[in-house]
Amino acid sequence: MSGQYEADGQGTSATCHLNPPAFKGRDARSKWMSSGRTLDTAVSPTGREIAAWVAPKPSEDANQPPKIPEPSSSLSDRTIYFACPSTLPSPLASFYTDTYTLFTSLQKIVASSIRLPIPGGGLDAGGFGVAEVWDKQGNLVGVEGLIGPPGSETVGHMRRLVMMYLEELLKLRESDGIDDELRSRYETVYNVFQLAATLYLPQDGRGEGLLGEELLDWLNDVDPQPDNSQGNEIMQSRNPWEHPSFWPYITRCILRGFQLPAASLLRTLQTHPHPPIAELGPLLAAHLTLMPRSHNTTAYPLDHQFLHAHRTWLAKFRAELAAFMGGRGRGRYLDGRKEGGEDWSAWEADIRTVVELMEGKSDRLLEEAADWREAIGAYGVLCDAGLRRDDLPNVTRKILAKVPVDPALVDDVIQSSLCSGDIVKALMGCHDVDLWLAAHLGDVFDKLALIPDDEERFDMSLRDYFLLEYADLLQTNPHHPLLWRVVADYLAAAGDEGRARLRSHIVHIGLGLEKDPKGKSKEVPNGDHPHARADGMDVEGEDTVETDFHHFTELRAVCMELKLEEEWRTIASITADMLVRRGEYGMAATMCLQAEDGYGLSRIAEKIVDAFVQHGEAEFLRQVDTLPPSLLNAAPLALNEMQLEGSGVLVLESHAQTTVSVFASRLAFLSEFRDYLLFMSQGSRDRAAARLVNMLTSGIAPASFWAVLLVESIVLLEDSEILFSSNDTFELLRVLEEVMSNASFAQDDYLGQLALVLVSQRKVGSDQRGDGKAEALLDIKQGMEDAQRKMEEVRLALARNLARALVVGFDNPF
Amino acid sequence: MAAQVAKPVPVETQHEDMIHDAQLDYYGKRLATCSSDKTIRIFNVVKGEAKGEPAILKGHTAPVWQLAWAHPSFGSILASCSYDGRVFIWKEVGQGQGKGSGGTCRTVNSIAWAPYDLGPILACASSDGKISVINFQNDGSTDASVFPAHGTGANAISWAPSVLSTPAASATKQPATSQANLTTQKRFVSAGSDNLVKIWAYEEEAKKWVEEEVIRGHEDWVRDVAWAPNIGLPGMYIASASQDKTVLIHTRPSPTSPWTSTQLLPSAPDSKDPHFPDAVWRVSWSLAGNILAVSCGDGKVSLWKEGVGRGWECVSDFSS
Repeated sequence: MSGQYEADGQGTSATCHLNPPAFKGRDARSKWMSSGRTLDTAVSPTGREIAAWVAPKPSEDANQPPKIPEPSSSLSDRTIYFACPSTLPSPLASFYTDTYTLFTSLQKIVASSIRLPIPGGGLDAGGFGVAEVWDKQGNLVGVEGLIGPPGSETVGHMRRLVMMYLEELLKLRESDGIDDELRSRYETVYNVFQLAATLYLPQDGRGEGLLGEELLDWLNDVDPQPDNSQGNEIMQSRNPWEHPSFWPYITRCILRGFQLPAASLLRTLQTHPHPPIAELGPLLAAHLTLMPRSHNTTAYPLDHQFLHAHRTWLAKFRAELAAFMGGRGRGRYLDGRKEGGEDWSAWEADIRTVVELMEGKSDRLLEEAADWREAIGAYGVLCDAGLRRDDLPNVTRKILAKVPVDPALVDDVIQSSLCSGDIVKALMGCHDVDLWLAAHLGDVFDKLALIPDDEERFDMSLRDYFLLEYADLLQTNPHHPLLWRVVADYLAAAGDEGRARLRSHIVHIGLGLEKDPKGKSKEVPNGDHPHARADGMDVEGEDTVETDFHHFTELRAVCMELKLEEEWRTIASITADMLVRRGEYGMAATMCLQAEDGYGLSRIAEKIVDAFVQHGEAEFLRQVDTLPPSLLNAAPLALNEMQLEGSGVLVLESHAQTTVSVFASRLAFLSEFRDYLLFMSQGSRDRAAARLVNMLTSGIAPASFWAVLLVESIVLLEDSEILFSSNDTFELLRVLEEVMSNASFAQDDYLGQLALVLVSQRKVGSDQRGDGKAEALLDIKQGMEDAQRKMEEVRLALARNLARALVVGFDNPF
Repeated sequence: MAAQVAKPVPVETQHEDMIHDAQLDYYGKRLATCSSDKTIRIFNVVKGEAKGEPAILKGHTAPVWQLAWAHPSFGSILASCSYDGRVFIWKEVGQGQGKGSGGTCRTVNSIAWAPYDLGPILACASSDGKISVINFQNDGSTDASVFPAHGTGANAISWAPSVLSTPAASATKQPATSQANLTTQKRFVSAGSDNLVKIWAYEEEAKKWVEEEVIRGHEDWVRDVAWAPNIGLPGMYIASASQDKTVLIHTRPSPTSPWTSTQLLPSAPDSKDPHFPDAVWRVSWSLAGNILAVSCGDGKVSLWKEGVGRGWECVSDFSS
């Protein structure tokens, strides 16, 4: 099953057809529409993916369900279609991820190189202090106009990174898995980016060097001319000058800076039957060969040396040409020497072209150049050997006036805008070609401080807008596993709105917990079909706990790096919640800690206490042991410290400490109660008794559990040895009084847990299973009565122990 | 630039009757569908494809109209509304096991969960023209406020983002660094058979919902309305779709400025006719609130985007 798509002629939107189709054929649409059906859709909350389905049209009468006249439910009626507005072939995906690392490096390099403005240094007229210049994540904000273009060293760094962008673009163009449309689009992208780098990221970092040769190199790279094989063909003919392409080829060679092939052809003229031509050919060839070129840095290490040589060469060429002409005017190179019977005056124009191109006559150049691009490429070599970057916009204007750009050719529009320094127009063009190009080139220009502020037209900076558009494009492809990370970084780099989008982006990243971790499926009762449970939610568990954890670690790292603490707390607390529901308390507790979610932790603690109440000691110990040992061990220590600091009083309500103290006391209680149970089972009754007193006196035990602990104390109180001092006993009596007096109005809160414990103990004892609600209610009522009786037992045991302790009297208070 | 549209991936739901709604959850990992066959199905979605057998939730006694996933902070919770006049809240109790609890209302056309920071609140639009806002308390009880909204029938409901950004007073003078003030808002928009779109705000002091704004502009029943999630920026966008075959975008650049409405132009650039070929049944926004999906009765779903200085443009469409 597949779908087809077709791009409409406008090129602005694309249409996609569903398969299986809901209808086929010409009349089918209206028939289908009148069948009461419509297509409905929902957008995914994570990307731009949409789900579409065929739905019945809502009824006209709101109190009637919609009716389909022919309710024959076809396959298309039962199908949900997932669709994405874009595809991402894998070479493009790897191009995106590879250039992403370059992009982030570029941000870092530039950020670290920009000097901070000095506060009070006369530059803070806009009201900026240093503090506001950097935002939380270390990006420079709101300093347009304060900081000029980066220094030459930074430009050099940027150039190196942009060269790496270009390498990646080359790699993409050469990869196999892309279609022709994409290949040609990325050819354009490459050409534009290369021109931008040539013009705006000069090798010296300052842009003071001569531009001509660099521009010509770019031209020859983008649009290679003339064809070498044609040159060979002309050379190999018996009389090359008789070849129809003889002169055009020479002209093209001169324009493209290939002086040597042009000279070779001109030299063939020495065997020409007409003597003036046979004389002039080698003369032109000789001078063409000698024409100085600025890229010959061995001969001309410095610009002025080259310019001097160029001037000298031109003077010499003109002098020798004048000598040859012997006083005749232009256009009469061959005049008056009609020997050999043939009239060669038709050659005058061709010869004149070559001469004038060599002389650097701009009118001639503009006439001969095939398009504006060739004109601009040749101009800096032939006409104005001293052309520098600052002059280019003027030169471009002059050239475009004569050789206009076809506005339908978007590449040409962008490239000419780059040459004339109209960065905004160039970037708008880039945006129409490719979002990657707009985002990355926009970023480079922004860093070079070349994008003028245009608050009239744009709400946000052009760079941010393009970055957001690009991030949007990446978000339409939610299935590439690593793109979420890439999207996050681009959003983080895209100003205020980017950050706002980043916040909603990051919390929608899946937790990776939707599936059972491996090993769990083994516990499925009917081992035969571990993946075919009736509820169908159990898909093949390929994720292990480790990969879950890996995803968390990465998500956490991203949140920390991009300063998304609040979002991370949300993510961690949702995760903790999910884990608690699954009964994975250990990992849940770790998550709560990450989320600084004290209430989450105490909820987990309560769940584990519940385990004791419902299922007894063994289950409690098992669950406590799933908690990270470090957490349990640290808790009593942390609690101790806090008690010391707070001069013996727990500051539970202090705002700053709430999280920590709640977590510490709840976990400390779990840890103490576990120790108590272990001491009891080991027979260390004295230590067990000490724990019990400690739990009740330090305030860490939840009030609802006091009664349970008091009942636990009975066996210890009745021990043949005196395990509780009179002071301890008084304390326990105090707690008992508190429980009893509070229970008189809030029985459930103070005795409820004890009642449940007694009920479950009784059931275990008599091995009876209570079914049904009525029985459960009866149990609770019975349990409450038992609890009241038990409390009386506690009182008796305490009284007896007090008497014994007082008689022994180590610590007789009287 | 012609975006290359990906091939749609079909998912066979095995519903025995027409599908009324499908919703992806917060993470895009689960797809819930509901149908005239009275059931709800939940599929796991892996890389854009449904995997495994669906979980089937049964309980409604009539066609199920609409579904809404709650924010994951509240657990795995799905609300459904049906022609049987009940709203069910389904909760995942074990891996993949659903448990439903029902609340009886009037015939409910549309349901929507409030943004999670407002708490577990569900708004319902019913065919008797009333809106109910149900607040789920921690102790498991609920309280509902019910008020008449759209005379003959309320068709759709959508919550505003909970965070409202008001630009700082001096924002016009200072560029990016000036921080906007963030305040919480409790608002939603509803649409009805009275051809109106209404905005409702909660008055904390009076503890009641009041009608804040009535937006006219449609000439027939308004079938759907969607408030764009605009992630803390001052501008607000609401899209409304109507049986009059038009889609309106209602915007206001800041909380103090008035609402203005713009029509989508489906025939642009050839014509400025705002009419789609058929009634428009549904509008929904993307996560960032910058793409609008429009479902039209002619069997086409089109995606719209606001271009800088170019107004709203159709960027791609899906057709049956």
